[in-house]
Amino acid sequence: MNRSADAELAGATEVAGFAQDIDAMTLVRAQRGDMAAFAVLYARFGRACYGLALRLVGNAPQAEDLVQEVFLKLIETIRSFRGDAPFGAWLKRMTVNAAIDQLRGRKRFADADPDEMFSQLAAVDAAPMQSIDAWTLLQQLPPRARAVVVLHELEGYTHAELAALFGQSESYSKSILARALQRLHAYVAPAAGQPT
Amino acid sequence: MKNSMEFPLLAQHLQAAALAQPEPPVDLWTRIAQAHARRRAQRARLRYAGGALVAGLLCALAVAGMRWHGGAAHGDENIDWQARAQALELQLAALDHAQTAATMVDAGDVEAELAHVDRLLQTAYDHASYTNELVPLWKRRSELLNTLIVARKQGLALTRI
Repeated sequence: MNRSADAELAGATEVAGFAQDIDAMTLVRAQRGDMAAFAVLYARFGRACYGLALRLVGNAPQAEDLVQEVFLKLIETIRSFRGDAPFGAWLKRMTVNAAIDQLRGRKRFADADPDEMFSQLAAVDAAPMQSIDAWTLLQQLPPRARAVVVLHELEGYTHAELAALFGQSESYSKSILARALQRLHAYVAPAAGQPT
Repeated sequence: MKNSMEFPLLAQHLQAAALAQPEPPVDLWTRIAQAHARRRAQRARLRYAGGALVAGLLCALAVAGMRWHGGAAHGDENIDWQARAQALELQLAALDHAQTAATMVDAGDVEAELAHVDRLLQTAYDHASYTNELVPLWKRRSELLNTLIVARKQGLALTRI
């Protein structure tokens, strides 16, 4: 990565993640196809993009592929960005859409109904886990359920938005979310000595 | 409707997940830039191949078109039907000049068709039609003029007898 990209990254510490803004000149340069400008955009948003991708797809190699796919698409479509929404929000939506497309591509989970999705999981170990980190916790869920939890609980998506994203009814994501939270609670409660 | 707020401990864990910002691999941008360069090169190759294909097709079409027009123009043993019709017209005019109204053979049908062919030719020229559409008309005109000439000659011979 070049020096200007590093400098951009250093100056972007006050506002984190997708909430950061970009200056008009960088946007114009990127829209002209200047790869140095895209390096600046990656320096600013790459980490947020990767973090979201990792939470959604659940493993590092797929998250890296997803970030690559998103930035390649960004390079091709940035001319269509008119600034109606903040750039970070636009990129975040692009990342979420790419992740959902990837999940849809997994035939095994494509048409899984919530009952089937959770019935395939092993029972939660009765032995209390002394400590469980947030990342390990999310890994306990099937891919779609993890995506629903991340998008609804962490990214603030509504069930109506999830329904549109997954091409399902609102009750579909509501059902998955309820089951996923019950399951996650079953992991963390014993560790804290709470009833499950 | 359930949400993580019903499970405060779980909500804490999820908040921790939200705050975690893992670092992507240091070479990820390099890989993205390389993938972009590969994709651009591939598209350039496809564009070049597509352009060459289109150029080849256009050349083939042009050659086929030239052969088609040329073939139609040089059909019927390379006869220039237009020149022939004009020559026959002069010949007919000379015969008409030698005849009187009394000796003129009635060839109304042939003359009517000749007038029709003339109108078709005029229309064809007005619409800038291709040679392959004009040649049959000039050929038919020559045939009709030839018929008229034969008829005129027969009329003259009968008068002399």
